[in-house]
Amino acid sequence: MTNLREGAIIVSLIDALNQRGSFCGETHVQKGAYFLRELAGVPLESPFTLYLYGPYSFRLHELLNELRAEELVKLEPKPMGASWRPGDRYSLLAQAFPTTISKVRPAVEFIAERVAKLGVLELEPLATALYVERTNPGLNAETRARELRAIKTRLDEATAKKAVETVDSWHDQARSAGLPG
Amino acid sequence: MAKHVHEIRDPIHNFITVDSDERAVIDSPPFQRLRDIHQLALTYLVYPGATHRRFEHSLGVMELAGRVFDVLVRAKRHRAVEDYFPPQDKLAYWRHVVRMGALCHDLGHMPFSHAAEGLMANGYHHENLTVDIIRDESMRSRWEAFPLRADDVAKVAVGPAKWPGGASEFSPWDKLMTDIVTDAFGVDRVDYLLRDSLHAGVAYGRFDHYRLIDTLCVLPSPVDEAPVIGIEAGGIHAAEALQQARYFMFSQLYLHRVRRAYDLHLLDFLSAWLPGGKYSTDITAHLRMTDNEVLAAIHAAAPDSSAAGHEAALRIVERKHFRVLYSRRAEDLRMSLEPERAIYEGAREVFGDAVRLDGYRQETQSIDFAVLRDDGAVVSSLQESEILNRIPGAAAGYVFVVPERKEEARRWLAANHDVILSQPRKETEP
Repeated sequence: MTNLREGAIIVSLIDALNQRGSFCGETHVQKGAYFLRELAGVPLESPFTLYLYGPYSFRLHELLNELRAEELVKLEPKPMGASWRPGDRYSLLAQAFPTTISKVRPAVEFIAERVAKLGVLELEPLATALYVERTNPGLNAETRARELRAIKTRLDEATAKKAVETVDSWHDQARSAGLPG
Repeated sequence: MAKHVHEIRDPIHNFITVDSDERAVIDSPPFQRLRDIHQLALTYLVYPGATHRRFEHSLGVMELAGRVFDVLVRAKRHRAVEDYFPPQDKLAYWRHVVRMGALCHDLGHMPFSHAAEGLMANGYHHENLTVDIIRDESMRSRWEAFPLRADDVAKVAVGPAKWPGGASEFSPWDKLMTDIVTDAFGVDRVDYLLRDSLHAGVAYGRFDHYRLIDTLCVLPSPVDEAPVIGIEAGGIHAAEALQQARYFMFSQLYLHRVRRAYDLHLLDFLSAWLPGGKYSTDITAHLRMTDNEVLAAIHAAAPDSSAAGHEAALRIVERKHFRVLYSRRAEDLRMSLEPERAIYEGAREVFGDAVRLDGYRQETQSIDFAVLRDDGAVVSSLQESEILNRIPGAAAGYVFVVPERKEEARRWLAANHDVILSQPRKETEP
């Protein structure tokens, strides 16, 4: 059966992204959830794997469809894709998991603030930079940038370096904000 | 030596043609075993005609996979995706890979598969077994005859989500090949909708798949320009019809309350009867286990009260299946997140194990795909279609009760329904 607790966290992320004017396509949800888990320490069960364009969760993709079937999220058509929005029954989900949503709110707000307005082409190197760091602990920034370019071969050196530096600074900011980071 | 072309009659596709190398794969023991695996488990107890097997379904998927491949490589290619195509002299190889991957996609299915997916040992799912079988030594000579790399076939058969080496081993071309079988317009879906519709005797699964296939093309995704399978604008109505067919087949057939009840009884029987409550993941043991063995065991256990799984077997054989105490209603969904769960938890306090909860939410729904407009723009299908976003994901929620206590339980529900659903749901710790 659908993990509605996890659904509550994801929809609260979607809500936070929308409140900040995000396009909130699936890339935003996927990468936002990855940051929630790996940078802000939120315990999400959906496993992530490295796929064509960075860390991706097939289970999260299924969960979004399940939540849509329950009218807990909905899709809004846009020319370049579709945006995810909280669904007509979201208030029932929020009422059912108030403690969960309240516990993760600082992390959700932190991540939404940072990813809401980014485009797909910016999100993917950032999420992949975090993936490199998580799977290769102890590497310095220069080596991580090289590893990042080995995965995303179309990235230039400057962009890779900036992505690594941005993720490092987000770690520092997360720790300052009292998040596990 | 020229290869023979063999023809197989099929009620959906009229003729399925295969060459001699493909026929050798069809004649292999793992594939022949699919003659004894029902496509729809015990659905024939509800829809008597639904006795078709994964054997002919897999042949149909192979046939359609070849047709889609031909359309995709023949179509005028969008310049943004041209570089993803292999050289012309490699296309014949990939055509065989796609057909064989499509043919073999269900090799790992256990008896009464979807009902029993959680009953595999070692954390396996059926795709793990599919890969093991394709890679097995016994299949090697068959792949070498083409020649094909077994892993290329296996990747198409199972897709990136279930690939044992991880999704990172899929190139964009690998993903395109596997999408032919499993994506929005995946031929697995096209064949099973048409085939299930025909054999069950329900009209909902029919749609113009000829038109749909004819309009398929490889396009750059409107989101990130990745190569994806999309459609020309002229095929949008056929695509809408596919999604509607899927929704109606879920609602009317796959989520039919009695079918779901039988799935629970199957699960109970298998959990009690299988050694350790699990299907073996050993290939030899797997190939020896078909629906025949399970059904024989069910019929042996039904009259024998000391047999493992006796009660579940009896319910199947004598049609003493669970009855519906509650099926979720639209008005209840407006005030309760999961009305069936609330009803179940209340009923359980009174009726104990005589009640069971069952639910399903559709986890794949492909309504957002790339569309090539007449002006050359590539846009989301949700922009081009008035209908797609209105097609909901299928969902069902049931509370079942043993038939012996049905009347008593229904009286209880009539007296307690409103009170139960008006109570706020308490959050529990994970």
